[in-house]
Amino acid sequence: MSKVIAVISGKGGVGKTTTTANVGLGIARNGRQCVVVDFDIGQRNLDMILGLENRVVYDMVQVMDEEARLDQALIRSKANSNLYFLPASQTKDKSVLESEKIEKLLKDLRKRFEYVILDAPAGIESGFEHTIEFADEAIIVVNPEVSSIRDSDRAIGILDSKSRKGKEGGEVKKHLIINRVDPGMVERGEMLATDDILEILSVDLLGIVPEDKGVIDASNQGHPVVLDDESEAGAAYRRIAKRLCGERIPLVEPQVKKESLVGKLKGLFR
Amino acid sequence: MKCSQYNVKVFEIGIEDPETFLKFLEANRALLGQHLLSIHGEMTEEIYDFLESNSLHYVLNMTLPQAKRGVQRFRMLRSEEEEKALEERSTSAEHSSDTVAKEETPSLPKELAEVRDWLRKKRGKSPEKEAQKKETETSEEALSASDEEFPKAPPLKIVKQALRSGQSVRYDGSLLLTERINSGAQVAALGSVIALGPVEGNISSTGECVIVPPIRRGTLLFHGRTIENDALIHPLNKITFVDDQVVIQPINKKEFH
Ligand SMILES: Nc1ncnc2c1ncn2[C@@H]1O[C@H](COP(=O)(O)OP(=O)(O)O)[C@@H](O)[C@H]1O
Ligand SMILES: [Mg+2]
Repeated sequence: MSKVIAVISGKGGVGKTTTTANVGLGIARNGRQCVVVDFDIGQRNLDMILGLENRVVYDMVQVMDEEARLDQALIRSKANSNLYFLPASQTKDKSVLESEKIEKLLKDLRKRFEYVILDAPAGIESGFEHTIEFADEAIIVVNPEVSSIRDSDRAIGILDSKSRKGKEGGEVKKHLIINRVDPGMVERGEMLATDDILEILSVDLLGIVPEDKGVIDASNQGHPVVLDDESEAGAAYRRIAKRLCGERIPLVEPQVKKESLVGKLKGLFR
Repeated sequence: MKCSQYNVKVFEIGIEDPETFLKFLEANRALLGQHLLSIHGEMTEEIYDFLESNSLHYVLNMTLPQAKRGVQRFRMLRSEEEEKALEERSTSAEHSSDTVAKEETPSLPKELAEVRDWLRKKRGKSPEKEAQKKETETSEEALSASDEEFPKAPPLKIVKQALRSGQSVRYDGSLLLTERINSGAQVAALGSVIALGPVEGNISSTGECVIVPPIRRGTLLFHGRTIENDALIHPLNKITFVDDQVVIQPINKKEFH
């Protein structure tokens, strides 16, 4: 049974593309056939984060318009052979998306892959509704800030009312990822706590990803953090991928790093 | 012969203990001044003096004709609990935290004006048309005044899902919302609003009452008046008009059973 999972958020820049790349790669590392699709037409940076920008020849819109075959457009990841990538169009704008064509494309992808992960544009943009229309599940990415939560709440409302499943009286299964959590700030009460976020959004928690400078470097190098065994954010993405593959992995709240005695003393004399 | 017909509001009370009765009269003098008191029981001199010196209208031990809905409705309003609440309020009348109303002319909130217009459209009446109609119908209306005063209210609408940012519920009757109302969500009712989940969005009502938990971030408009969030200090607050004042009282669990 294959599933289509849309990665969504209220506003841009919260980490949807980062999540798509890392979770997709994580799932592939668990031995599942997975494809990540860049639905953020006009923005397209999933190719860069995956280190595949030089391999793009055909794109999703050309496949939908039957100017190219699906297997011509799909790009296999260098990092894991179970992962494929379908690029967004660089030249066309969002208005080219049509429901029937998207449905057909997703149907074809479902035949080949267990996991079809869609990197959505932000919830306020026009392509958003097309991305969520045929989704079975959604990963909602938020930052622990009031504005991010509120915008995501709105996006979830659209998800519930505009998705095919929602319209047919069902519900798109929703998972929440809280990204860029700074444990120190949570401890000092400067960030929204996990419980508060969950209460407001009433969505199940899939994972918490800490703020990690390594994420940005890894993205720039086309080598997502999920591949880095030392990285805490990478470990968080690995746990998330396992949960999506059906494993029961306990949730881990990011902890404030305990400073060594020497470190503390150094701090005192600074 | 000159003849006219009009409705009076009757407040029915019994004298059980003259002292508590007098206290009640004193506490609710202003409100009772707008009613015809139908008093049952034994009159004392003090009570008589009080009624006369305050120019209250009253009848003693009289059986009034039961104007079906009118009287019943009124009795419902002034049930035992309500009376107790009234008493409570008057004893704490000095505590301004219990009586909170921003000094602004109560006008129909925008959302509600919209609901009303939308309703009129639905019923095929434009606001102007209706005004015209009123003029031509006044004589007829005077006769059916009692009916007109208690129009059939639409049934209570129950909303069982959380309201998310950007979602809104507008209704011409009363609303019961069992789940959260998130920041950026809108609730507008011509009737009462009862919200049981956390409220962070905006509510406005022109109904008999609003019942809400404490509100941290949302805005509550009751008949166009902003109710200060700081005034909602009870686990569940009931906001009503008593004697043209906004009154906020705790809801006791009893009222739900
Ligand atoms: N956990 C994290 N720690 C640090 N930086 C992050 C994290 N997640 C995302 N970022 C950075 O935030 C920026 C926006 O992320 P991106 O995935 O492009 O967001 P979106 O796709 O939602 O617009 C990028 O520069 C990315 O590297
Ligand atoms: Mg993106």
